[in-house]
Amino acid sequence: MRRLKGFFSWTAFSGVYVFLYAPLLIIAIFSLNDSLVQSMPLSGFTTKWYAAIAQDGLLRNSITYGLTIALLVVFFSSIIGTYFAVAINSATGRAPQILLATVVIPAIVPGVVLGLSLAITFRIIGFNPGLLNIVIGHLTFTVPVVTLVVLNRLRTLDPSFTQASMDLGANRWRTFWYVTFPLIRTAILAAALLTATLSFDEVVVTFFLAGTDQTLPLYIWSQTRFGFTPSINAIVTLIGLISIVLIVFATRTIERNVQSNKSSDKKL
Amino acid sequence: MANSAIPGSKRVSLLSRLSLAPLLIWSVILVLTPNALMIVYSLWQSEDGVLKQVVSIDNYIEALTNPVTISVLTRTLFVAIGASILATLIAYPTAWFVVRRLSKRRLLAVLLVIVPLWISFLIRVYSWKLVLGERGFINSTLLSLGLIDEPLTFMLYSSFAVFLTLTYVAIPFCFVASYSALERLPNSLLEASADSGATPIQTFRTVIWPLTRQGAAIGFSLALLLSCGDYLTPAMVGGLNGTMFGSLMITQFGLTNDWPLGAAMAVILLLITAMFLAVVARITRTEGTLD
Repeated sequence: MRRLKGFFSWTAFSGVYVFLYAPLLIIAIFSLNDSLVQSMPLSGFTTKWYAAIAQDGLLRNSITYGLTIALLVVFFSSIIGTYFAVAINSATGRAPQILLATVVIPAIVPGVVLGLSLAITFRIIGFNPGLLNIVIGHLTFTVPVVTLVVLNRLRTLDPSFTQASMDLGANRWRTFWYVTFPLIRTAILAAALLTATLSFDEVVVTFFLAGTDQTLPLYIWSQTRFGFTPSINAIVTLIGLISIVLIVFATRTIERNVQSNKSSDKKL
Repeated sequence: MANSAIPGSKRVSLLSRLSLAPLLIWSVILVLTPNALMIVYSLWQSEDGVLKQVVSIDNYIEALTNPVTISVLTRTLFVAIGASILATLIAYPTAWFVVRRLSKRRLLAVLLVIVPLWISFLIRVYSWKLVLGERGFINSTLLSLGLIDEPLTFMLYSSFAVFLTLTYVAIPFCFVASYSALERLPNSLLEASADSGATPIQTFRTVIWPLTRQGAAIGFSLALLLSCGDYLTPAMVGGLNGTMFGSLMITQFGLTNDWPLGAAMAVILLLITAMFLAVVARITRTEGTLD
């Protein structure tokens, strides 16, 4: 009886993982299938859909455009978000709490609502849809993410580090640069990686703010809705693989850094 | 960083006040203004695509009396709440299993649930089109095995497809929220409960659930927020029968070009979701805290 129960819970548990990965695997399988129609039984192995990616100028442009946006978003949201976290952490009273709650709003409201409200705002002030609008739009929901991640790290820090630094005569800026920043560096890095994927993948808000140039998800969106092009499966599989490599890399770096922080704590 | 707590440092306190100024500017320009403008817009009118700056609540009346809008809104709430509940029902026990049964491979198990979150939302939705389609994976497999003669058509372009896809998309969010609550549950509490003669079910009802339901509720809320306003999923796998409120909003923005009506719908959606989330937060408050 007990063993039977164990068997059932293991099966259900593995079932969840099968459910999560099966659809993604099916994309990968179809990306290597030698047929225009995406059906079983498989017709044979081919890499021509991958070769087709290189021929597609629109696709390449959309990738460059999306990467440009993501880079700008990561750069600005890391600086602004870190600043916000430090400012909130060092202020007292209710004001920082209220401001934090306000800044976080765009990260929580449904994407359509955020997209529509931003589109209306840009229309009223007369910004034409395009790169600037998309970057600002992405910043509204990535800055709070960076703020929360960094703030979370700051709150676990021992305040005696910064107090010691100030007692030894360092001003706020030097204290931040030489004491606080090295301790929150990994949190900022983790937030930056998260921000990069959030920005690169975003469709809903981007849809409202984009001009004629498409980001990669917008391109995939326009391709997948009506026509089936097998090279979409290929590009999607590639992105999936790159994401996984990035995640493994990010987790490794963070783990290693946490461990080296721990050992340097011990030395202290 | 408790600088301002140092007594007699008025200058420092003023400085930290000043350092909050950029946050205030950000909040006003990028959060409060767009929302205010959206509300203003929802009170204006659009006649044949021309904006009329006359204040009235006509858009709200139109949105809430039009039978199409009403039925789509009801369906959206049913599908979104249903998917969020199902995702929580799948994710919470899975998180429990990972916390209780796995030790060495725990990090890997958690990571494997989170990985799909990093793979584009769009891709995850698109994958279901390949699975459920008329000539998709399930149908073509069943056909080639000779188990069915005609493709099953109820799967794609229906509310069912939207429901299934939203559940799929929501599971990682619900898992992360449930996991972080369950992980902090100290073993000693469960042992104490068992030592006092409680059955596993009693332990769950009186110890585990009251202390972790907030985590489950956070996951549920994230899932609800994600699915309520989503228009990608209905557009990709929903077809005409699976239209959701988000798709209607997008139509006002694009095809119909009635931004004020779209803005009114956005405000309605926002109010309804806020109401639901307030109720959820209220009924799932934890009795006691875990540090």
